[in-house]
Amino acid sequence: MRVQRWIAMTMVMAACGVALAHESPVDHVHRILRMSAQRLDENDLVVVSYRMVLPERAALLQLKAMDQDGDGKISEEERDAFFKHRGEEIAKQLQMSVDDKPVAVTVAGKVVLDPVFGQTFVFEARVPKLAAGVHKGKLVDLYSQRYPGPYVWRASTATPGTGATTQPALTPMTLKVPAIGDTQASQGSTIVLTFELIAPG
Amino acid sequence: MGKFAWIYAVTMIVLAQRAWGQTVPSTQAHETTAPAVQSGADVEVLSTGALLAEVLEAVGEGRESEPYLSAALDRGMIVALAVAEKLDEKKQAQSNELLHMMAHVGRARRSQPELLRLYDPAAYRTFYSAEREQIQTKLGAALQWETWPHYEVIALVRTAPLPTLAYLRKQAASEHPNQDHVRQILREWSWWVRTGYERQHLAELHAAIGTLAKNSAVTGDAETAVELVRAIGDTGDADSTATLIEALAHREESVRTAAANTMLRLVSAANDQEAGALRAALVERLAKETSPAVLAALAEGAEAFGTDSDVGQALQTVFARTSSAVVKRSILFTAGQASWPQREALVLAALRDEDAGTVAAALQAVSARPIAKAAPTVILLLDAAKSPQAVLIDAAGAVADPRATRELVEWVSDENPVIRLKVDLALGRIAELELAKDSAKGVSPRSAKVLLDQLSRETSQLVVPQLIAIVARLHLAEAEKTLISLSMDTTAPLVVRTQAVWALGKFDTAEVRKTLQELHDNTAKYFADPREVTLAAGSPERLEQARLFIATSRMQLGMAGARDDADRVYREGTPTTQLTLLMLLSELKLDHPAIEQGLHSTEFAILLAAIKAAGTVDPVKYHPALEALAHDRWIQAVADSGLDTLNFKATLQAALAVGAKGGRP
Repeated sequence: MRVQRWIAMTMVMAACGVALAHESPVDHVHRILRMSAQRLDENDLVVVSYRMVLPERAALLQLKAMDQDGDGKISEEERDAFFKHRGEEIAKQLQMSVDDKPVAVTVAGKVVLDPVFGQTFVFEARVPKLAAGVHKGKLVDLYSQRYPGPYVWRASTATPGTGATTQPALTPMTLKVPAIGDTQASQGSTIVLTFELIAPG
Repeated sequence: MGKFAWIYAVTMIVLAQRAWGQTVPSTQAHETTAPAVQSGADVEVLSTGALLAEVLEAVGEGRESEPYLSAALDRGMIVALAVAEKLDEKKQAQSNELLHMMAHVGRARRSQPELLRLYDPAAYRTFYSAEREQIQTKLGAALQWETWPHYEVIALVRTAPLPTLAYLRKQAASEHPNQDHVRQILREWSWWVRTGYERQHLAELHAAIGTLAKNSAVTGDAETAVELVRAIGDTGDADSTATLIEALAHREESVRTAAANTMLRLVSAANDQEAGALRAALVERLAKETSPAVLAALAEGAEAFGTDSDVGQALQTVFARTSSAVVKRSILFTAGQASWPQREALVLAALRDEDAGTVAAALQAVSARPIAKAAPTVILLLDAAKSPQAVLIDAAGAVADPRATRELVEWVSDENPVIRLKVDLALGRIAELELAKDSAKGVSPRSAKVLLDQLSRETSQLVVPQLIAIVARLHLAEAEKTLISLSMDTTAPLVVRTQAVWALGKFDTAEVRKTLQELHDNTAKYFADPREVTLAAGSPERLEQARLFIATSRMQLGMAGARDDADRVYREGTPTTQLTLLMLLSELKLDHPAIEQGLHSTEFAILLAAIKAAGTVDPVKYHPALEALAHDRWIQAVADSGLDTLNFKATLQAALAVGAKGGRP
């Protein structure tokens, strides 16, 4: 029996080795990140739509955390409170910079859930009004380090300003992301996305 | 309405309908404001209605429906409700495509209802609302078709279980049941249950199976009877034990084989009385059966009765009388884990068999549960072997006779790392017993010396960590220097180094303590390799893992601050690191606050590791927390379903059982 235990121990080590090789045994998350930009009166706005598709088991166990009164039902209040907190936690782990200057990322709008256990959060970053021309940007997703998985990264076709603002008369800005293909394995490392903002003259 | 207010409104509707399954018009606004569009992006933001229109048009014209199909399937049960209306018995090919879509989105029925209510409300309405029967009747309209397209039965079981159950009951009452349709339903629904997807209708399905079993037209048809028997096993229908016992004596060999194959699965669902009846039937059948196929299946089914001497006796008798190698091997596979009194004699006899496969199966049985009397035969076989044989090496390790060392050493440098690994494990087992016997002499046996030599020469990443574990387990003092040097060697693979660090915790010497302190004080110097290409991304996790292993080794030696270090690593670590710590605590039987925290995790792997650790480290202390988990409805929803892919339920029950017995295993 002791031998079996030691074999098990070395399996633990092997698992750790696998983990170190970025094949986490933790439920993976698939991500689709969309980004768009627009010009506001006072500043420029970058909107990030962050859709995470969870494994069913992870989504189900989230209900355990959501069900605060333990009645087996998830009320609107419980749902909203859970996702508000979760959105804020993720926002803290999204680090954005434009022209190497950090900009704060905040939650903008309620999460949207979809049938494949997708959760779409919308975040925004308000950038001081940019001078005409091209500006380099970077988004570092520290959350992806904790929960690895493949991701898709797109400049959004789905409206700038989703859930972020209802301010009228905004001017869209061109935002470019590198053509990196539809899916990239994050390999358990931090996702670092680069983009370009082209401000109008 | 301002331009962006319009865009905002449309977007919210698009996103909302994606979640709630409503159809909205396509959004022209996207096109007017879209900046750089990546390929494939557009379909994801189309309305469900627009997507379905594209898919249906493509299916109708017999052309490729991607990328619209994939995007549509992500919209959930609303798709099944929409396409069901387009089913047409006269258009079988087109209908099959649509049924395929229904089957795909119908997987939603496996989900916990509250999850459906939040994520796929259309599915919740279909399966759990007051109008479910009405909705499912529409989804199951094709039940009445004479010819079923390939995907029909899959779609029926998933999207229309109520009408499908009614259909089964109707067939059960018929003198001329549609055997083909009954078989298809039983086969598909059995798979659905076996996979752990059935959350709603198991009792009704069992009732339908019971009714079908009373219909002689069903049981008289061998093909249908086979499916019925399989369904009894796959769905754990212990109420149908009598049907299974009757099937063991069926005139058709295929039915008897199916019944024997079902035995093992059914016993796990049966109560003591039912299990007793099954055992008696098995013993009786073993005595009468002549078909090798059925005998082999019966022998496998006998695994359910690993402690019962009447079963052992029956198997031993069959082994003696049969000339079928297949039957003999089946018996030996079952004997591997069994503990009935005839086991030893049976395995020893099998080691002398003329058939090489039978001998190999006997050796496997020896490896599974060592038989000391097998040692001379194992050594004879080692002598005779011209090349390394994994099963023989395993058996040599199991019997742990020092006389086997001489033969094993010849294979220690084999080019196959798996063989080398097995040899090392076998030598480790032999050395363990030799050291236990000769501890007073203070001299390392040859087996231990070979292992130390291997440690200095081995390069395989598969073998080295195992070797480290073996020499640490044996507390071979001569290994200390090598382990220290490996742990600090920044050019060695990380998995080897972390293993070496962990192993150091087994050697309580001043040099080891000094090394661990140095690694603790300067972790980044030793583990954040500046030549690592992915340093920026990979470094934090490398360091985290290194700190974890250093902390647990220091904990083993009771060094100051080690528990706090482990606590910090757990709190700040990734889920993977948290999981690793819990697994190490479990292995080392060390209590730590991380276990209590892990028991409150909503991360499946962490929760599982915490349960394992709680059950190993202090099952009495953690018993209340484990009980709370066992009664938690959300945990049950995972544990009682196909979502339990890692023996979660069994692990929890085992931990609870040990705690209930005051910590005694």
